[in-house]
Amino acid sequence: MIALHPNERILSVNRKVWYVFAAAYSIGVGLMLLPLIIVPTIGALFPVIRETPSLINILFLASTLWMWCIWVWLFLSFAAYYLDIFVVTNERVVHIEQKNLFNRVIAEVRLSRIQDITITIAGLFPTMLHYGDIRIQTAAEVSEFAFTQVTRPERLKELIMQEHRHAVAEESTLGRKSVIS
Amino acid sequence: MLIPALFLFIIAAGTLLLLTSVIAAHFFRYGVQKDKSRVIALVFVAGSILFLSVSSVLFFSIPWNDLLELISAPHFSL
Repeated sequence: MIALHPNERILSVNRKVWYVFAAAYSIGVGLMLLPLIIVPTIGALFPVIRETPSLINILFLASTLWMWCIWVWLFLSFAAYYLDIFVVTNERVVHIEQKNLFNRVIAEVRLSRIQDITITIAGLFPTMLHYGDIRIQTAAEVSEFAFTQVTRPERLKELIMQEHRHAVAEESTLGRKSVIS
Repeated sequence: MLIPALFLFIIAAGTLLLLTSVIAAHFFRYGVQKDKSRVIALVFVAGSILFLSVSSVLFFSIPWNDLLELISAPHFSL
């Protein structure tokens, strides 16, 4: 879980579009169902196996272990997709990149340090399916934040710009107060 | 033949169970507030437990010690 500061609230949690995971999902489901074709085929080719319950059980055991392997692989891929997130709070933007199971990069920038936001929607599919890339230029140590294949990047940009304006206004109010006191 | 088969089965099931626990722990630890990561982890673990139970039942239903005898029987030819 993301550790939130006092009075901080999550405004938006963004993941890559589900189509990114759809290819892995389709392959996984296809591979899981493969024994349903292979086992009857073996049974048809070698009738002696069909007549020996022990050998049928060995085939079923191999199929179960195969399906279990694919099940684990499917969720391994899903973890890389699902835990790769771009969070906007009322104080900061957090980008958590789950590269693989033991490779995780977390970067964050305060909203007031944001300088420019660029969105890119290039190509037929991104235009039709409303997804694209968002790049945030910052005045922080990490000069650019990039999150690719996000749903409706224009809405996300508007949200970040709106919260950026609030953050800058709040900071300048606090600055004026400290100068007066 | 039971011992080598059991050894291989324990290695395979143990590896898959270890991976299951690591992946489920990732979903539990690294989810975001109010998302479905815990439900996903539970579904994943439930699926793995189901696969473990089915494969264990199938493994112990096979007469491993009689298997060589069965395959080398004269009536048995592929």
